Parts: sequence; structure tokens; C-alpha cells
Amino acid sequence: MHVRPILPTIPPPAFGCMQPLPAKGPAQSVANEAPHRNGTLPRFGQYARPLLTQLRFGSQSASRVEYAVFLNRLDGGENNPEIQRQRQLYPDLVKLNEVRKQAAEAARQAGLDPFDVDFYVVPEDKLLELASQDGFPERYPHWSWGQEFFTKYKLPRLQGKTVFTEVVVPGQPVQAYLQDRDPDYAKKALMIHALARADLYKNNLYFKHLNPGLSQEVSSYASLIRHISQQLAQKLETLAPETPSAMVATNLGIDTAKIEAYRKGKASAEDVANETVEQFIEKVHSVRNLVDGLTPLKPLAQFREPTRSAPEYDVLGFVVKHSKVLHPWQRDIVDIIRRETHALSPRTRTQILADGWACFWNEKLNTRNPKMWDLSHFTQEARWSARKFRPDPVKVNSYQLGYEIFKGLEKDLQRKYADHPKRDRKVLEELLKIRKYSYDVSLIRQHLTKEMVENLLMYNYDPDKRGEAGQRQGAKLLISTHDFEKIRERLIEMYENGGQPVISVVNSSFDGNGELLLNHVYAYDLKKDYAEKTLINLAQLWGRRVYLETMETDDKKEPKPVRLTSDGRSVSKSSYDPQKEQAAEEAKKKVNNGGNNNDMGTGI
Amino acid sequence: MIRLLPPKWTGQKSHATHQGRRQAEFNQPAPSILQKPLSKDTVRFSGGPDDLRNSNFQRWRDILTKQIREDLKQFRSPSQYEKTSDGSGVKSSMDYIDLPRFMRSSNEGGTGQGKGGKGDQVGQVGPDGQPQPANGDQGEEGDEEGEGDKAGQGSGDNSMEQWMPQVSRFEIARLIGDGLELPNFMPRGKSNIQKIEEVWDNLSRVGTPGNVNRRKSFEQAMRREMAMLGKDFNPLNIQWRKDDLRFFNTSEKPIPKESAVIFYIMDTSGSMTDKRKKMARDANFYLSTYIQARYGEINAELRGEAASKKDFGNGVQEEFIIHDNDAEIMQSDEKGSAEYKFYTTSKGGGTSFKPALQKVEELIKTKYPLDQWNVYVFHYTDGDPSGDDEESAAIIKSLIKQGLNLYGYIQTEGSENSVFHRKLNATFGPRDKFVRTMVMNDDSSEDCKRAVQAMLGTEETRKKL
Repeated sequence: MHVRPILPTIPPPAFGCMQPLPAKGPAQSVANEAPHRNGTLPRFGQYARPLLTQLRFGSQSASRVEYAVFLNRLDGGENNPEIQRQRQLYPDLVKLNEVRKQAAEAARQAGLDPFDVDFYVVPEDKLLELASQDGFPERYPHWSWGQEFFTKYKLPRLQGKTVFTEVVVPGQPVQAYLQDRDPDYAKKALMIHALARADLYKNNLYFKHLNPGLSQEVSSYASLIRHISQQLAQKLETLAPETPSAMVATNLGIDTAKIEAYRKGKASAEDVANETVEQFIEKVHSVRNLVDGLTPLKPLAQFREPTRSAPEYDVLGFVVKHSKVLHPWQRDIVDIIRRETHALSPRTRTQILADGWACFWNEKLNTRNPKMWDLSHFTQEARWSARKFRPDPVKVNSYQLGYEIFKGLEKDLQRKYADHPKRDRKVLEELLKIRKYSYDVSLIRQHLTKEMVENLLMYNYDPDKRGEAGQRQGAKLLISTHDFEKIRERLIEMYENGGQPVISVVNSSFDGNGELLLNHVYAYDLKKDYAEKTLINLAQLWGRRVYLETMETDDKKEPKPVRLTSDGRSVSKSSYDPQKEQAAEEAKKKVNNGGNNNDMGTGI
Repeated sequence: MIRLLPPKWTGQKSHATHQGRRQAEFNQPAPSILQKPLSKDTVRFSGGPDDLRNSNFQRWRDILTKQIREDLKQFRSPSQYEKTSDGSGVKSSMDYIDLPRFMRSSNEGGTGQGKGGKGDQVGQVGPDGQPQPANGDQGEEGDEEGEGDKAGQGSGDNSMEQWMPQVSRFEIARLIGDGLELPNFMPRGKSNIQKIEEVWDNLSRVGTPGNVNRRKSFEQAMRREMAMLGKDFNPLNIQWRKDDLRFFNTSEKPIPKESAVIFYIMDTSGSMTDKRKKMARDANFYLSTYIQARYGEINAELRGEAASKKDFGNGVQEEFIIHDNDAEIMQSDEKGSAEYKFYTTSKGGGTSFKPALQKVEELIKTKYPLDQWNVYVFHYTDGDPSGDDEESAAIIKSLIKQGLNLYGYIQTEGSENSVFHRKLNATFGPRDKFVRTMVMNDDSSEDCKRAVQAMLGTEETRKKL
């Protein structure tokens, strides 16, 4: 018989300086038996049910249930035997929960004021799936989430490139998802990140309008879109087979080819409906960024004539309200996507702010608060945190930039209030004020200094050729300047409007027959082939011609005004002289005001 | 090899700690939070696309797979797709389907971080129009250390392959199979019919501890205890004995099998350009796919099972022969597989068919006797043989008399009036069952389709050509 040698039992390393758990008696023996795999949690099948909570992926009527460990549930119940038993069975989770409480406590003591945060622990693939759907498990089905899942999140992992794992969803309470395989010190850091973000969600002005039950709202949209495709399939089934397919196509908004396929028995009604909805969503996704939900829509009457002084920035809202070709179900979908984009826009506008704020507090709480120290993994933790700051030659690392800004700000403020009796408190107040009123662009505009840019070794780069040659594959990107002012200018240009070009509706009757005129507020060239295809999509949603006034840079460095036109099938381009046209418009206005005001074309 | 089956109701390995836990859970009342019992799938840790129930991902992969299917159905060149590592299918790269939107153009430059002076190159515009870091200066290089537990995460090609869109070659055969058949198929597996295979379906009283069949052993122990103890039998306290153990064991089963061999002959004279070789390669892909899939199905049917992925090519051998004035049988070695060498070797020199056909004759005599093997020959050439066409035709004639299933002559880019083409037509007639000829004019998918149909088509299909 093989006899296993009896090894002395080594207790698992205590987590930092935390108090040891008061578990005694039989519970202790169970705790000693728990498998410790380098500080990671046991695998999912080992958890008992009371700890697991359901995550529903998909929509309510067609959902797929996955399980997550709800950390907060370990808390509280001194009188609840079930929870007490869980605490005995899962000492590593209890430890993690203690860390969670420690972190929240430390954040509050340090002056942060976050929403409550629900922490969930999920397996890697579930986490990545959540990340690909912007953190909402119940989201309308679309292949592009799957593409995002693989190319953006899964592929780098398969290739051995490390990518960070935090999914934090705004709402009340804020939901934060952690990956079960991450080591404990990483989870601790991510918890502090989540708390700092929760603080931002509670206090930053740009998150004020957010629905506290955002995930419920998004899940209701998912159900609605699911309902839409079911209805569509039903209608298709109940229609008499004699009805000409062209008529069905105009009534329901389904392609004639698909109707034919359904009638020949090549595709089921459900498949046809699902595919139709999916393809329509594709079209809307390509224009989803043209949203401004903060101001109410302006009345249509204003746009019978070109109104360059008071344009409408909510292009998608304008299209939803006034398009003549959208079917009711299409209108619903456009509106849903518009609302979702609007709800997500604060996150895209506060990237540097949020990342910087999170890193800043992570560093601060971890180094200054001895209760948060994890001495057994000190170097690993430092290394793990530092990986966020890997510089990229062709991108800006928002974590590093944001962190540098807040760090520099803190130093400046400490210098400024050096003689103040309550210096630290004053500095903290100032910092909290900045996180309250800022977004990316204002942060860069007001608080980025020359010193920071030099510390970060930042530069501007440009392609060696301008114009179309600069968009071609293989065009060389060369460092053009290290000048602080120019770098700041470019950063502002790139982060303005959440990184999206500003495009607005100027006229809804450009040729006198319901043509839409859009104006690109020129800060930089649009990507040409993309702009053309997007314009085609927009023209299909609008139903009439769509014009886009923008500028294009030739090989010479002067941008020239051009007007792109699309009728929904193709795009043509013409140059024009804006000053001449404006003069003509004004002259026309004068004539109209003087004479008969009714002759305005049909308009819509 | 450990053959102990994991306990079915958790999917987890059992060892002492978990047993203890499970016992503790067992004694507790059912939790009120989740009444619904967990099924095996929901709790299991997912480790790949097959475990992954992300329908959005599956849908995206389906869209990509649809394109491959469409291409192969139209006989487009398969060389744009890679074979999977086990050769049972083709895979394509994961193309990013980008949705157009209004966005900043790359000719506007950007901001980056790093060392370097004015005018230094930091990157280039990538294929997707986005800036990419310059080669050798990777922004996100791998950093495995500090990642913690990375178990189960491979980074090789194989782990990537399971995520890629794939089409199996069985499916390809089904896609292109309309109007095709195995030419002149004869059941010839008489001597192979008693092929004996070992199957793990037996029980034994002796064996290694790894092969214990726990269920049977437990049943045996229970039976014995019941017989011995009668009323005192306690199902919760069963003492095992050594004679109770039952072990997994093999039994021998005769498996009937059909065998075939495909000879690919390629002319490697100077005039066989890369384009012509590609034509041969494309046509060969479809020909071999169809034949191997059909034999896989036939052999599975003889076993009385449904064909599975590993049945592809079951019972089919391939031989690759190149020739100019001399012929050579390609062998796999460290320089590459026989197939790889077959398509890449270039020799130059004259053209003579006789040595190649003699090699076929020789192999049939020594290795693949015609009473046991179905034999198919596909011969790719672009020109006329120098003078030995009479003798070559004679060899073919004698082989067919002995029972050769097919001699397919595929001429890549040459006139229909070439000497050997005329010779074959004159000797065997233009619509012979055993000798089929075909002239590919171009490397188009149309010609590839015609070539496959001319070689493997049913009589009706060949009439329509």
C-alpha cells in the first residue's frame, strides 16, 4: 500500500492585516480542507446554491440562465443559518467579502461617496459576454455583440495578451462583475475601481439624468425587440398566400426576396422575421452615434428653411419623428437604440475621467491605508496595477493619462494650500469638485499641463501623406510634434463629443421635396468610405435624398468644402461655395418675407 | 489512462473534501433562493465554444460559415481556406464585419506615447483603416506572468481553431454531391471483410485498477451481500471484496471494410505553370473530398453506425506520382508531406506518360491488388507526351481489363486536339465509362465544376456537359 506522508498543515496566508475570522470548532476543519489554488476561488460547480444568483442572458421571453456568485449575500444574517453555513463552507469567499467591506469602508473614510455596489463573481466567458453587451445581460440579440465578444475580448486572451476585467454597470445599486479566476489582490483592486466609478456615477453631473434602473430599462427594450420579431413572423404567417409579395413587402417592411423564400418553404416565418429585424438593427447601428438626448427635439417647422444658427443635433430623433418611410416596428427599434445610446453616452464622454479617477483611488487606498495592504502579494499587485499603464505608440492610454492628471492636480493643490490649516481636507474638496463638474474634454482643457505631457512622453503623429493616400493601408505614421499646445488641441479634438464627429440637421427640405441637409461641424476629415456607406444607410431610413456638408483635405493642406449626396443606393460628391450659397439663401429669405410666404414647396 | 467515470450529477472530480461538502449539503434542507435544480450544463465551468452558449457569438460565426459554404458550393478555389489540423474540414479566419459609421479619418493623425524624435515612424495605417503600431513595437505584447492561474488556456493554433468557422469535408461532399457518384464502384473488400477491431464493450474479472467499472462492481457487491446476509442486508454499509471487482475490457469484433486507392499523377514538365498546378489542386480537393466522404459513409454503414467526423477518408489511400521524362512516387518526409511535395515540386524537362503509368501498374501489383481495392487514377498534364502515347494507352487498356475503376485524364490549359486526348478518344471512345477525359481552359470555378462532374458525374450529368 502506498502511504501518503503526513505533511504539517500550513494555514492559508492571512489577507493583509485583516482580523482573522471568528470561525471555530467544526467549521475550522472544513476551512482547512478547502482547496486553495494560488489564491483563486474554487471552480463554479463547487458553490452551493444559496450563493448563486441568476443572470438572464437574452430577453425575458427567450432567456438563457447563467449563474453568478453574489458576494454581498454572504453578509448580514447572524440569525440566518443558511448564510452562516455558507460562511463556514467558503472561507475564501468570506475573505473576499471582508475585502469588499474593507474597501467600501476605506473609500467612505477617504472621502468618496459612492452608490452601493453589488459585486458578482462570474466565469471568464460570462464576463466577456457581459462586457461585449455593455454590461447588460438582457440585451436584444444581435451578431455584432458576438463579434465584439470574440475579437475585442476573447481573441487577445487566446493569444496570451492580457486584458483587464472589470464590468461596472451604472444604476442603483451599481453592479460590478469580477472574474472568478483573477487572483485576490486583483479582485481587491477591481473592487476599489468599481467603488471609484460608483462614486463618479453618483456625483458627476453627466450621470445625473441616468435612469437608476438602467439594466431593467435595457432588458425591457430587449423584450420589446423580441416581441417585434414575433409579431412580424405572426403577421407573415397569417397573410393570405395570394397577396402579391410586393404588397406584403410594403406593408410589413420585409424584403421581397425573403418573402419569396418563405413562400417556397425555404425559410420559416420566424427566421425571416429575425433576420429582417437583425439587418434593420445593423442599419441603425451604423448611425446610432448621431444622438443628443439632452435637449428636446425642435419643431419641424423650423427646418423648412436652412437654420444654421439653431441646428438639431439629435439626428436620429429627428429621423424617428419625421421619417415617412419607417414602419411602426422600425420606428420602435430606432427609438430604442437611440435611447440606449443616449443612456450610454455619459460613459463614453467620461473615459479618461473615470479611468483616471479609479486608478488614482486604487493607488491612494492601497498605499495609504494599512488595512488594505496585502503583504503576501505586494509585488504581484504592484505589477498587476502597473500593467494598466502600458503606453501605446498610436493611442492614448486613458488610464495613464487620467491618473497623471489627477496625480498632478493633487500635487498642485497641495502646493497651493501648503499653509492652509486643513490642507488635506481642502485638497480633497477641490478634487471632489473637479470629479463632479468635469468630463474628458474639460479635464484636458483645464487641468492638463506641459509637465504631464512631457512625463507621459506624448506626441502627435500624422501620416506622411495627406488626402486619400493617408487613408490607404500601409501609410506611414510619423511623429509630427511634441508641442504641448498642439497635443492638447488634438486630444480635445479627439475626445470632443465622445470621440464622435458632430453632425446636425440643418434643413429638412433642401431641394423643396423633403430632402435632409446635414452639416458636419468640421474639426477633422471623416473616414471617406465609411461616411459614404453610412450616408446610404441614413438615406434609407429617411426615405428621401440626404445631403451632408463636410470638408475634405486634399494633398494640399487646405480642407475644401464638399457636399455628399445619397439617394439610398449610391453616393455622389460635389464641391460648393458655402459663402455664396448662404448669401443666396439670405436673399431668398428677404424676397419671401417681402412677398408670398406660402410657396415653400411641399416639405414634410 | 484513467477510465473512472466522474459522478454524473456534478461533473466534478470527486475527492475527499468535496465528498465532505456534498454530505454537508445533502443534510441541509433545499435552499429557498433557487428552487430550480441546477442542470449539469449551467454550473459547469465553460472551456470553449462548444460549452459556450453565447448565441450572439454562434450567430456571428454562422454568418462567416455561410460564406465558406457558398464558396465551396460554387466550386470556388478552396486554397483561400486552410485545412483544419486533423484534415477533416476547412476553416476560415475570423473576419471582422465592420459596420460603417461617421468617424475620424486616419489621415488626421492622432496622439501616442513613447520615445522618439520628430519624423520617427511610430506605426502605419492597418488593413481596417485604423492606426497600427509599427512592426516589432507592440503596444500590447503578451504578459503571462502575474496573470495568476492560466490553466486550461492554450495559446497555440489548435485552441484557436475550435473557435473558427469550419465546414467539415463530409458537408462539402454533401454540398457538391448533386449528380455525382463513385465511378464504377465494386464491392471488393472481400479479403478485408474480417477486419478485426478491439471495442471497449466487455467486462472482465481481472484488470488494472484504472479500469474498474464501478457500477458493475457495486452491483456485484450488493448482490453478494444480499445473498450472504439476507435480512441483515444494509445497503448503506456494503463491504466490498476483491472478487466483486469488474473491469472494463475489450472484445474483438469483425468489421467489414471497403478500401480504395486514389492515384494522383501530375506532369511537372517546364510548361506546368503555377496557375496550372493550382487548377489541378483545386480540382483534386473536390475529387478527393467526395471520394473520401463516400467511402467514409460506406464503411460506417457496413459497421451499422452513422458516419462521424473521424470516418472521413476511412479505407481510402492516396498515392502521389509526379513525372516528366521519369516518374517518382512522392513520400512524406521531414521536408513535407507527400501531398505538399506533389504540388510544389517543379522539374522541367520533357513529357512522358509511360513511366508514371508503369509506376501505377507496379503499385497495383505489389500493394493494391485490384480484387481487393477500388482504384482511381487522376492524371493532370498540359501537353502531349513525346512519342509513347501508343504504349501508354496500351497500359491503361490492360489495367482496365484487370479491373481499374477509373482513369481520369484532366488536361490543364491545352487544346482539345492534343495527341493524347485524341488517342484516348480514338481508343476508348469519347463517352467511355472507365476512361474519362476533360480539358480545363481556365482556373475559373466553372471549369473546376466541369472537371469534377466529368470525372465523378453520373451518366446523365456527363451527358449534359
